[in-house]
Amino acid sequence: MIINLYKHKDEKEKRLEKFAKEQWQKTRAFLLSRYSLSEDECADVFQESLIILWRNIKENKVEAEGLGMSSSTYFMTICRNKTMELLRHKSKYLTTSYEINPSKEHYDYQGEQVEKILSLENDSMNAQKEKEALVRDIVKDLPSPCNELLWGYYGDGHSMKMLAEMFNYASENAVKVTKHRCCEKFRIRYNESVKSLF
Amino acid sequence: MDEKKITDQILHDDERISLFMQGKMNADEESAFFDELKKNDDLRDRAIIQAKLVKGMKQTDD
Repeated sequence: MIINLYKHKDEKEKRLEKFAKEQWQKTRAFLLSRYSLSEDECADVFQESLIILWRNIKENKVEAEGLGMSSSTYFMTICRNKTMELLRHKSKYLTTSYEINPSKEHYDYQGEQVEKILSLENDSMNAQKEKEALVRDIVKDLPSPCNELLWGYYGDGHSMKMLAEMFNYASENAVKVTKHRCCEKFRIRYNESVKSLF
Repeated sequence: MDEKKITDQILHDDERISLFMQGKMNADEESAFFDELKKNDDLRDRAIIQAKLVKGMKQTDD
C-alpha cells in the first residue's frame, strides 16, 4: 500500500517508511475493530496521520531517531484523533468530548529512581548486560494488549486515563488491572528466559 | 500464569511504585517506601520488574 511519497529518500524518510510498514497492520486492525472503518477509510486515516507525524518530525516536534517502539502509541493517538474527525464528519457521533493531546499528561521516569529500585535486586552483577539485553528483546516482542499498555505507560509515560481513552477501555481501573497482568506476564517470561540462559 | 487476585492494595502499590520512579514522592514518603521495599519481598519483586521495564524500554528507544 501507500507510502511511496518520496523520490529521494534521506535517512529520516527511510526511518519513517520503515516505521509506517511496521505500524500498518496493527493500526488497520485497530481501526477496523474499534471504529468499524472501511478499508479505504483506514488507509486514509493512516496516510493522513503519517503526514502529520512527518510534519512533526520536520518541525522537530518528534525525533526521527526516536521512531521506535514508543512512537507507536504517539502515532496511534494521531490516528485516533483523525478517526474522530472523520466520524464527526460522517455524523456518526454528534460530538466528541475532546481530542487527545499526546503531549499532555506525560510522566517522566527518573533514571536515578529506577536505579535505586534495581539496586535492591538480590542478584550479583553477573551477566547484567545479557539480562538487560534479554529485557530489551522481550519488550520488543510483547503481545497485544501488553504491547500498547506497557509501552504507553512505561515507555511513553502516558497516564491511565489517557491509555483508557486511547485504547477504549471502560475505565482507568480496567487499564490498571490489565497493565498489572501484563507486568506479571513479563515477569514470568523474563524469569523463564533467565533460567534458560544460565 | 499465576492468577493471583488483583486487589485494590496491589493496584495502589503499582501506583506507588510509579510515583517513586517518577520522583513524585516527598522525601519522607520516599524514604518510608524504600524501607518498605527492603522488607516486603513481593512488593520489591514487583517494583524491580517495573523498573526493568522502564530501563529496558528506554534503552530500546535510545
